[in-house]
Amino acid sequence: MTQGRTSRARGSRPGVSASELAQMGVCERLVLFEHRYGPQRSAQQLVAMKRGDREHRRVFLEGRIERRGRCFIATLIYGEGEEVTMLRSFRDRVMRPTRFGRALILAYYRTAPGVCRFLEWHPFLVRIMRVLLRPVVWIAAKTLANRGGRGDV
Amino acid sequence: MFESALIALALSAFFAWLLLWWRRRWSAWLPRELRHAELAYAEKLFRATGPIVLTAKVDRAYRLEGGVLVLLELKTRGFNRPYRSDVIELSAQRVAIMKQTGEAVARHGYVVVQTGGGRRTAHKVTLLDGAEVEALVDRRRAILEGCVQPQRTCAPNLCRRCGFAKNCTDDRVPGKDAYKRRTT
Repeated sequence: MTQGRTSRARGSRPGVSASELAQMGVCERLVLFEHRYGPQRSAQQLVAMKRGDREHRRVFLEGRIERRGRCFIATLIYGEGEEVTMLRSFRDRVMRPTRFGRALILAYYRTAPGVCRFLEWHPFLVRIMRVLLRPVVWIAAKTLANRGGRGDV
Repeated sequence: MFESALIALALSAFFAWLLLWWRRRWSAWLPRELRHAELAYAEKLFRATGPIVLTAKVDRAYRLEGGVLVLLELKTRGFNRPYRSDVIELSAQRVAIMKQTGEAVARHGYVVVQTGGGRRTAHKVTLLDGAEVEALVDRRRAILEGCVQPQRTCAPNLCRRCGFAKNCTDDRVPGKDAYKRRTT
């Protein structure tokens, strides 16, 4: 049942969705037929719709990663925990003051979302990365301790 | 010691190459304009109320530095090109966002077409303005009420695959009585 029908059935103001309106750009007759008889999809169209839904979910996941914040990989691997705080502190107090450090941060921001997208689809790599990052976190903690303080941001 | 350093160097080079490769593969489709923009909305439903009630689910909306939103719609299809229906959909989304939130939305948007091989290409499209969208909503309503004769698509491929092809073989359409009333 189309949204227009649903709205009328409820007695509310007739409404239209963007995708229903987009059908006007496909075929106006199709709009009328679908309104009267309901959508009729071929098996091929159903497969294409399923594929579209799958890709939309995938793009949504990718979007979630983009919005998660700027400490991409560490946040994906550890969540918002002590390790991430430590690494952020290391970034801001040790790396950011130097030109080389800033260049590394920039390179990281540019590449990390892509790596995160890859890791999101390969959970076993997340576990490997967690092990690989452990010495990095340890070095960051030692460096911050030598400089004084544990480094909360 | 020297061997360990060499292995570490080789591993670093390999990871750097891997990162760059994945970055190229996954991020190349995103238009240059949006690469450093903030992702403001993803898969979010908007509803414009007023004389016309319009609902729209936005795939992605990016906020540029100036605060203007730019819409992006993903489509999976065989042909790597945007269609008029994509432009209408994005335009309706634009109207719905502007009416619900009052935020400025750019007159252009992007249709990202994903073809069979998984390759994504972004196509920049110019959107319809609010009045054009409202006119389209009015025309749709008039078609459904039988006041206007609906146009047939000019794409024969669409007709061949259409589930209603057998109902649509001549000039008559459902609600033909209404059509007859108008023409007599």
